[in-house]
Amino acid sequence: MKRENENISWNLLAKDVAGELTPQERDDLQKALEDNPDVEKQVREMWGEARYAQEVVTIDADAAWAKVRSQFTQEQTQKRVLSKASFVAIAAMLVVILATTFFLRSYLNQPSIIQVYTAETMKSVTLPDGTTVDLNRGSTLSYDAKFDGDTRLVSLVGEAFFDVTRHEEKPFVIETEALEVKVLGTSFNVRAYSDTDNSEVTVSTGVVSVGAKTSLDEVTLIAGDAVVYNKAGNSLEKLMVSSDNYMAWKTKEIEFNNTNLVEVFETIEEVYHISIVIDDEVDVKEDVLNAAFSHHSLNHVLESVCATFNLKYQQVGNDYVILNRFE
Amino acid sequence: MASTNTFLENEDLLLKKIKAGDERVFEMVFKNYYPHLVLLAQKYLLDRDLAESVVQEVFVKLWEKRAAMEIRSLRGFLVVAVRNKCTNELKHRQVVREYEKESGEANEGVWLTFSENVYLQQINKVIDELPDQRRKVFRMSRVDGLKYREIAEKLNISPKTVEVHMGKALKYLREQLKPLKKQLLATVLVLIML
Repeated sequence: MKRENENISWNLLAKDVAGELTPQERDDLQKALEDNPDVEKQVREMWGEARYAQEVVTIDADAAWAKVRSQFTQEQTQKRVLSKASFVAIAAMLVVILATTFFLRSYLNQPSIIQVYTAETMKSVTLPDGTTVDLNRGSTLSYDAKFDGDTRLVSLVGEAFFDVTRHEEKPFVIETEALEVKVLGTSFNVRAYSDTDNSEVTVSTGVVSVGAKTSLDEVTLIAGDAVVYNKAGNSLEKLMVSSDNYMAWKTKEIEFNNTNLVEVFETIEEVYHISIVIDDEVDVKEDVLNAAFSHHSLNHVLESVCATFNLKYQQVGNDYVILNRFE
Repeated sequence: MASTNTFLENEDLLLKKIKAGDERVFEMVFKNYYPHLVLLAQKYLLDRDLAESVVQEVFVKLWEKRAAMEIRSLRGFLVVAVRNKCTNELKHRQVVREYEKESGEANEGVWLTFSENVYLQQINKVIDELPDQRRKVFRMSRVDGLKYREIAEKLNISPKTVEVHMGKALKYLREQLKPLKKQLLATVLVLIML
């Protein structure tokens, strides 16, 4: 052990663990540690432990226990009430029902809100009523696990495609930052990312009613309709849907009918969740595209579009840059 | 103390007592595990208050459902319950990835047995023994995650001095802790597996 201490440069080791070594120092350290290959690992471990130890003491378990404890007491009071109730009950069946209710209630003593988040991937969620929700990237869906109010209320930030199970007495309501979307049973797409100024609802089947939260505007949409809410103008504008591209993020089916090339690139951006930059030299204002893509890779789609218009693309960092092809 | 430790590491007995509604045993278990679980949750949620409330909820639920619960390992149950709750609470890959990046640095496990708690106390004791300035430098680097350059600026000393303080702190900790660690034969690290 003594030899170890003599040979080790503690300053260098400390710098190593802190991630502050220069390449030169790294070489020196490696040479110095030739006889003691395990030291670096052990030191790293100890450094981690030391930080952990210092963090642990900042947590007040006594105070937390008092809080947790106070929640038990409530539960026990409830239990007492229950046992009286079951005493009065004549049928054993009733006791079972009461006990179950109690059990569920103490289980779910607070409304249990379920939140589903997506970041880089999409996700399909089935709600308690059988409704399916396909969540696009970067979206959050929140709902009550029980769905036992007058409405089936969910809240959405981001984009999702809803296929709502029909249930006439209990409307399905989607709350977004700006909109309230009410339906009985239908399928439709809601786009309400928090960082954009426009929210959009597009209906595939059935009837959907959309209201802006901050105004009295309300529109009813049928299949093929879309509505765009503009934050700045606080207005709802009804549109006809010209293609099914609004749900291409889910279906990966893209269709362009005499679509302006700028719009084409915008659609590709949304569907593949990327950023496209059109080079200044490229003039695409007059070009229109007729094409359909089904489950194709981004590279294939970009390649095809570029080839058609004598363009090329290059990936630069996180952007895809569209350039003229001639060199 | 030794007998308490043995008692508390006998999970079967603990579980039996908790199932039977022994609140004092539950309190001991709570106080032992709570800080570690909070730190675990904090890594996911990046928020101390949220982490505390998540862990508290897990314990409240455990107590409520204790009779019906089929638990083989208390430690395993708590780690998984907290982790699941965190991922549900915040199913945000970005955050998980951030965490993975950060934790790559040190072998950080979840410290959950009582002998390990004793070891952690020893570490803190050794850190407290460092000279004031050295301890300050050490904490700024290890706990606050500051760069040497930043520490030097804050304390108005040269980066070289910071380097020396850190080297000496490391040497001292290693000398003091190495024999202690060897005593801990039953070091069980429940590694965070994602």
